[in-house]
Amino acid sequence: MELKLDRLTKQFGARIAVDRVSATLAPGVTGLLGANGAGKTTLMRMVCDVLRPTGGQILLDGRDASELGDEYRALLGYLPQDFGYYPDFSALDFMRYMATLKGFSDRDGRARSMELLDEVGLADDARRKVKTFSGGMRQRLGIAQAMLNDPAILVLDEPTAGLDPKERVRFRNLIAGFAQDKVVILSTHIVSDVEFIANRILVMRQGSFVLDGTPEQVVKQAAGKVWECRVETRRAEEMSASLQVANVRYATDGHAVLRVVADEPPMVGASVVEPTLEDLYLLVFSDGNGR
Amino acid sequence: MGTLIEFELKKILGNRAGMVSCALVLAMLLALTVLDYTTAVTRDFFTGEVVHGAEAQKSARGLQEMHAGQLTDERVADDAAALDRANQLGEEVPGLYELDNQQIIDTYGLEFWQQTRAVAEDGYYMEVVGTLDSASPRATSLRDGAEARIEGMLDQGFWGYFRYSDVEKAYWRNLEDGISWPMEWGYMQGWHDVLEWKAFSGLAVVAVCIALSGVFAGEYRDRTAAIVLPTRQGKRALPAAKVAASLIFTTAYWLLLAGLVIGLRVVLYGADGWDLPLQVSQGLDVPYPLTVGQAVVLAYALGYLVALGMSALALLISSKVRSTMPVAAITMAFVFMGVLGLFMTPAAKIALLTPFTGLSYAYDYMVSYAAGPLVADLPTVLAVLYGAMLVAFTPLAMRAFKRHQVA
Repeated sequence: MELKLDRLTKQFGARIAVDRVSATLAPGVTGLLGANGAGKTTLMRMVCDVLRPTGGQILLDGRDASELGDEYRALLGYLPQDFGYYPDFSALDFMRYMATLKGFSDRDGRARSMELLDEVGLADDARRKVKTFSGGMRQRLGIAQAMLNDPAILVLDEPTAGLDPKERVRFRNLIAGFAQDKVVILSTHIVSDVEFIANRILVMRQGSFVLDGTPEQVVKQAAGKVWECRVETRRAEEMSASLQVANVRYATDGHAVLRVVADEPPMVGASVVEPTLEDLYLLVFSDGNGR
Repeated sequence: MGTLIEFELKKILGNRAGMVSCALVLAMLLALTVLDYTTAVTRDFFTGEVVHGAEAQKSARGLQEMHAGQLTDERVADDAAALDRANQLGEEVPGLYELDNQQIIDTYGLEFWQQTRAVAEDGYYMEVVGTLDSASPRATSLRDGAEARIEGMLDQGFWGYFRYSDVEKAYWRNLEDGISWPMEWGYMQGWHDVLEWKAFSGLAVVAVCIALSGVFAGEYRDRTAAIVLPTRQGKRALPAAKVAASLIFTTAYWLLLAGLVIGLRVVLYGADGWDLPLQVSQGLDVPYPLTVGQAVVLAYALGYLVALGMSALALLISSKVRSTMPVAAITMAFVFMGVLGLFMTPAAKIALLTPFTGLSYAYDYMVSYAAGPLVADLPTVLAVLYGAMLVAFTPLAMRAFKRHQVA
């Protein structure tokens, strides 16, 4: 299966939110990285057929998704960024409702719902009203509904928002296991969400893809641009204010070790270190003033 | 589909503002009915005593039953003579008009009161003899009197709001020809009240529209459209299920309301008079050749159609906006502006097409609309208008939901 985005464009008045982006997505996890406002959510909405593109098209195995209609939507699983819910529905009611919308019979929908609620750790809360859920529980419920129909295309927009570290790990493992033969698009600005499970990274800025490749290939773009500097504590604060500092570690001897992302060495004695995806993210989304 | 409709109904029932509105309308209906019954006061014809509540209703029933029977020419002539005698006796006693009922009984006795003031104030005599007096000289048959009364109204126009064209006059005369004479008179208080309350369903429409305000708009407002639309049934069965659930809700609520109006009145006043002519209940100037029962069925069926048409309007607005407020505001304005519009003469005919005023006047007054040689009365135009709204607006609402852009 192949999902092709062909010069996909979305314009809101004079503002271009997504600007002729093209990519061919194969089974596996594609991490879509970008700052807030980069156009990720708009792109996700177009992929999920809830926002009509201004230009371009989405092709599923060569067939236009807009023409496939219900057939295309039947293959989708979508967790939107702003996940709305029905406050008076219990978690099970909500899942049954979504299962019905996804074409399940009531009996099969109930069984599948319970299975997924169990998988996301909500089985014991299945009969509780969604309005009593914490943000993390609602997010897990959202993930469960997206996976109800075992979707061939799973689109997750900021899926880990509100999840605690343990839940994040659980979520990552769930998606990694799920994505063997499915197209998973995981949009996030939290690098660690995709760092270990993505087969491919697309970095989006101002409506366009600015980087595309495997995590290793993408990270290489930052090679030679990540520095480690050992400075006095007072100097560390000055550098943090003026440079793109990925990390500061304060030592007990009054010194600090800074991890700086910059094209040039930030100081004499700075040593080059191996970049990570987070370093690359900082490099791509720096504001041009080194921050 | 059934499961989806079930869930959509659950969402409608979860709309608190809507449920409170619907409950308030029902509570208001119950309260007004009980107040109407318990606060009734009348002076009993047979005893001259002032009676309240249930006794008052019993007394009014007794009086109506006293007049029951066929209104033959001989009978109405006797009634006219009785009213004339009452007026004459009143004139012969100096100062009688200054006395109230109790003073007349205390001064001149019960029998004198029964022959004078009780007759003059009896609605039956006012209606029947008043109708005979619509002709000049006084008609000798009730049919001639009724025809003269209707003819006079056709000549005057509708309360000065609008005049009748010749084709409209011919339409109403033709309708009036269908009335059977001589007419049967009798007690029909329960059904009379049911007909008087038919406009109440026009108000209930507002509560229904508030309840339906979130059917589509709620999905946009709560950001749930983003998860329900990109599903297999999201743009296919879901919009249809929403419309079906809305119409089921409207039907259920309307049945509950109509059942309460009819049930309460029948329990309190009895079911007598179903087969009597509509004129016994609504006046001899009504040209519809219907029985009271037929008019009840038609008026409430019309009320139901109006409720469905207004529900379709509410759904259409709901599908176009992201807030539930405009749905409630526009439908409320639509209902209540009709009442205000009635006071603006040029807009009266349009105002009569709104739910509350339309249902108030349907089957009670000669309101007609003419286009060339074609004439239709108010109930027909209301049925066509609200039927068309139902047929046109529901697909438009479904289409708007399917095309909703999550942005």
